[in-house]
Amino acid sequence: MKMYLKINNGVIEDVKFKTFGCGSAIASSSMATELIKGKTIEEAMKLTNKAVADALDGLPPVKMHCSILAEQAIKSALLDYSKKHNVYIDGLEDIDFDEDHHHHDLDDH
Amino acid sequence: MKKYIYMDNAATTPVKKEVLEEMLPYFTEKYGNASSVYSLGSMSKRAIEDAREKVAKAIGANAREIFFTGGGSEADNWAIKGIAFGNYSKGNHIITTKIEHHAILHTCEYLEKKGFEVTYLDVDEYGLVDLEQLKNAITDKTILISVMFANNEIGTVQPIKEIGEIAKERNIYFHTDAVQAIGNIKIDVNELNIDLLSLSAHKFYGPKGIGALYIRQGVKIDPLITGGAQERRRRAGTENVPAIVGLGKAIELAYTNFEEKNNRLIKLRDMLIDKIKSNIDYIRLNGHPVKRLPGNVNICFQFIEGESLLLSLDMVGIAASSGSACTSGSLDPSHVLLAIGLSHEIAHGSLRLTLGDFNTEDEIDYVVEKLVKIVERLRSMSPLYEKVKEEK
Ligand SMILES: Cc1ncc(COP(=O)(O)O)c(C=O)c1O
Repeated sequence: MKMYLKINNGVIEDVKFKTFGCGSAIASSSMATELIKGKTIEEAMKLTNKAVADALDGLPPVKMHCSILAEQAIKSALLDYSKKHNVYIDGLEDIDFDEDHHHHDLDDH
Repeated sequence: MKKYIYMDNAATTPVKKEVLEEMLPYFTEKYGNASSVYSLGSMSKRAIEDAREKVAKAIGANAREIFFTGGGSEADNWAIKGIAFGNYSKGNHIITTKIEHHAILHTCEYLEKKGFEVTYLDVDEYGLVDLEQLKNAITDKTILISVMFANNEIGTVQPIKEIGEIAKERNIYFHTDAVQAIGNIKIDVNELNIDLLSLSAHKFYGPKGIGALYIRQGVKIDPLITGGAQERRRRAGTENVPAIVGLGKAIELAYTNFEEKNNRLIKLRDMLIDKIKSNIDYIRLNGHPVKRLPGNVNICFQFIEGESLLLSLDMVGIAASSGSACTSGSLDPSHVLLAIGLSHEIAHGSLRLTLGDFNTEDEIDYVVEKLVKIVERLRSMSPLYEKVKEEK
């Protein structure tokens, strides 16, 4: 799962995604992009996997990790942004990123 | 009605009208218990024996060698456990393959916990077992060789005659799971030296939950289901008469006009494969090009995942299946695709389209047309495809 953010003045103007995965993974990434479009970085940071799943009217238990991936993909894109542009984003420091996650490890799905 | 195209005939098939018609009276009018002495009972008894004759005739067996079961899984369980427990004094070693249906694999794993030893033979890139590896695996403790006739996922048909010869020479029982083969391949148990054979009606336009195990006369086997004296004391339980009647009719129909139906299916199959090949790149045909079931097409589409493919196909009214992990409920893709040497990544993109008697040429065209668009769309969303495009 990959997310591309276009950020202007702290506002996420546009989001695109690429996903190699099942229907739930694609749906989760698509929904996550919808949910953060037009939002500020702070608001996007508050997006939880549960919110993604709820917006999809729920996911079956075995597919919940798809929504987690979507949440992580956004946070990891934000981390990337914060590094490149030297901006501090509150809340990113205590996230343990497993590099593989936003690229969504191939054999874990 | 919205167009609906069913291309998952390896999963199950619809009950043919002729089959249903034969079954119906046995629900409401001829409902007698076959063990009862009055005429209503003997009517059921006669219907069962008539069906048994039909099954026997279809595979070149004697009617006394056919035993009805509650489907393919039960027949597989019975064959494996029945031989294992019935011949324990002779040995505790079983040989099977890595690409069997779970009805065989999980039964063998269960037996391993009970002290049996099981060798799981490898298969080559086409899904074929290696006869030399089979011969080398045999020990003086080997009591059973179980190799499926044709694989349910990739359609590969095994060298059953050769395996039967090896087993016979070494005096080892040979079982074959022919659930996918019956109705699609002509089978003669004597010519092929088969001692036990599993079949299941719902794969050849019969009802679900009914199957049979062929047991060659003289084979020493324990019962799986104990109780009443049905099936000559070998399989207890009041017979499912309507289903047995349906199985009999379905197997008879399956081998009527066989060549004609078979040739038609092979033609459709190859047409589907060719059209996919010539319209979509980065694909791989799984299974053997010719040693394969007449209706089986199994293709991996690189850079995309099978379940999303299935959902997209369903939206345009096409029913198919995949060996992707996302459809299996586990994290691993199909054991069959891994056994033929595919990486996890490639195996995830598998699509199985299985054709049957009701599919048409028009449907092939429609499916290919939709598939081209769906694959393109899913690839445009795939980070893996992006990489490939960048490298080009
Ligand atoms: C090769 C094979 N063996 C066994 C089975 C199990 O048969 P049944 O569904 O009748 O239990 C199937 C069908 O799913 C199969 O394809």
